[in-house]
Amino acid sequence: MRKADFFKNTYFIIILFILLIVTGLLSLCAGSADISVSEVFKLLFNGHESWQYSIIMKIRLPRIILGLAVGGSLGLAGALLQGIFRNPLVEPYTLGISGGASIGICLVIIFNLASVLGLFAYPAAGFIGAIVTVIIVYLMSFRNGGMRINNLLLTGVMISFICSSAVMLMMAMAKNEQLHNIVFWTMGSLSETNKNLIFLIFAVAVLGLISSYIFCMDLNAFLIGEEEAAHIGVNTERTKKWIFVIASLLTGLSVSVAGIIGFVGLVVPHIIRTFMGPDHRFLLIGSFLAGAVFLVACDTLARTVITPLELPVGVITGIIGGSIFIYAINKRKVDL
Amino acid sequence: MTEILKVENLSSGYKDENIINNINFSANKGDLVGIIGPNGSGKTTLLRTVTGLLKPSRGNIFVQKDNLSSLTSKEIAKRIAVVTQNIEPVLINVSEYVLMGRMPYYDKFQFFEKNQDKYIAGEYMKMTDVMPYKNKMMSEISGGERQRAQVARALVQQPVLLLLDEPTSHLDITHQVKILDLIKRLNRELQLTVVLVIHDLNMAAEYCSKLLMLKKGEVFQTGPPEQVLTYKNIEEVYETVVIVEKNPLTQKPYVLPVTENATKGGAVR
Repeated sequence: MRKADFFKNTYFIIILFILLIVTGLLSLCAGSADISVSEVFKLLFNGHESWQYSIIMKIRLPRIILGLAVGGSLGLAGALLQGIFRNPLVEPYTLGISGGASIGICLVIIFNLASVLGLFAYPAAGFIGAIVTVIIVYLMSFRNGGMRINNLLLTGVMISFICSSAVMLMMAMAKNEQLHNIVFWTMGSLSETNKNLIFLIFAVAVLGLISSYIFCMDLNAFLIGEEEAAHIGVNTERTKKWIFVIASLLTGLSVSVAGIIGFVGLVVPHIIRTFMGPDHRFLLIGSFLAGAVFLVACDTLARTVITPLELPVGVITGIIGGSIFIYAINKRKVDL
Repeated sequence: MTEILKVENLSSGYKDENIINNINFSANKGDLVGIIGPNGSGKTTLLRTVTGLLKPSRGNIFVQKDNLSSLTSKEIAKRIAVVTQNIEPVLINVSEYVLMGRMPYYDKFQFFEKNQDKYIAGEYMKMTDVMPYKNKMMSEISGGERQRAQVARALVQQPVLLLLDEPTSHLDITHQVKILDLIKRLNRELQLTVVLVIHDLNMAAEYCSKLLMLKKGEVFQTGPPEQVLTYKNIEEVYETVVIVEKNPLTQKPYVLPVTENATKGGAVR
């Protein structure tokens, strides 16, 4: 790659990293209990007994880590899927993967499986739901070697519809307490407090990022077409399968803790691509970091706009993400 | 003569239906083999099977005595390079596109090219005359230029066998001659074995050292152009009346189709 591009992109990655730290710090300060940045630093080093310290460490920090992990996961999953399908409209949400995960999770709530299998039944069910959807999408779209991107997207949107109808069906049949759980979960929020669950999501997000780099050169080869990629020595079938597994894992786990948060996987890689170009060596980490920044920022907004009440974070990502996407598409005349 | 490619009792196609049946042929080092035949005779299917994109339903393909099915994708890409009919005009810089041909040589976690890779890419870009537009985007250049970039990318793979699917289609006569002259030069200077699918029988006669004539998925005849391109063979395979003359410049066979004008008599005169 050209030196100029290398430096430009490294520079962007560093900026995103700084942005993530700044957003994280601001998010630590923001909330119904106002704590200034300098106070945060003071509290971190001494004053471990104060109530502000417990707010920061027990409520806000876990939430930021979760937002970082979920945002990063969704941004990365979007970048991976867009790379494989070579289409900027593809993401976990539009392919129906999020919807599939949501069915798995609702089943866990309805049958109260968490009390039998423990809290990790949620991420497990999310992953299974996601991977089943991916297998359906895979069989439909890559059958006969040819792929129709319109069919694929329509199939994905229809799967999403079917899934949300199925979720409503389950809600209609659910008992009161379960209904509350499902409604609470579908709204999408980052208020999960279980430390082990948060750690799991974070670990999977980071592992997903690292393992996706095994395929970053293959994804670059996909840029020139799937057959061309095969001609320069990429085992395209294997790459596709692994990317689907990674994307399902990232999506399924994110949806299981945070509900359906749309548009992060669509908007983030798209914006990053306009800044950095289509090179996956930078696009993957860029989408991860930008997704993390975006979701942490959106979540901070969600919990401060109408304090002491809280908005579902999916509402904010939908409004901001959708608007940015429309703006970007009109400005850059992106070829779909 | 070192044998580079050997195709043995090969049958292949899509789903359960075989398009090509029981194909046998071989190519030695330095051969320039042309696959000819009418539309639907299985030329492209044969090429796609040899590149590994289609799995043969029967038979074997050997590259330098190794069975293709026993080689990994990377190992195949180091031996066989493919130039397809038309690559999508993607948003990639030409020189980066050419450099992608080095990917089979990258280590597992190698994310950046080495200086050697850059040097090799540069050499082949000079050879294929890609240098003048190497900083343009693949989407900005003409079809002929894109095809030469594709040939450069293929050469960067440093293959023993170069496969081309109808390299002259969609090109005007200048670019047709330019690309075939280039292929011939590479074939001669690098001793590169070339197998190409070609529609134009006269171009095939001019450039190929050996022809493989297909009819309905089977080999009708193979041999040097003089032997294969007789009016009898062509009339039987293409079901069209032709006259075969000699090109006065090269003494190669020259195929003239007998059109309605000629049979009516006098219309051309």
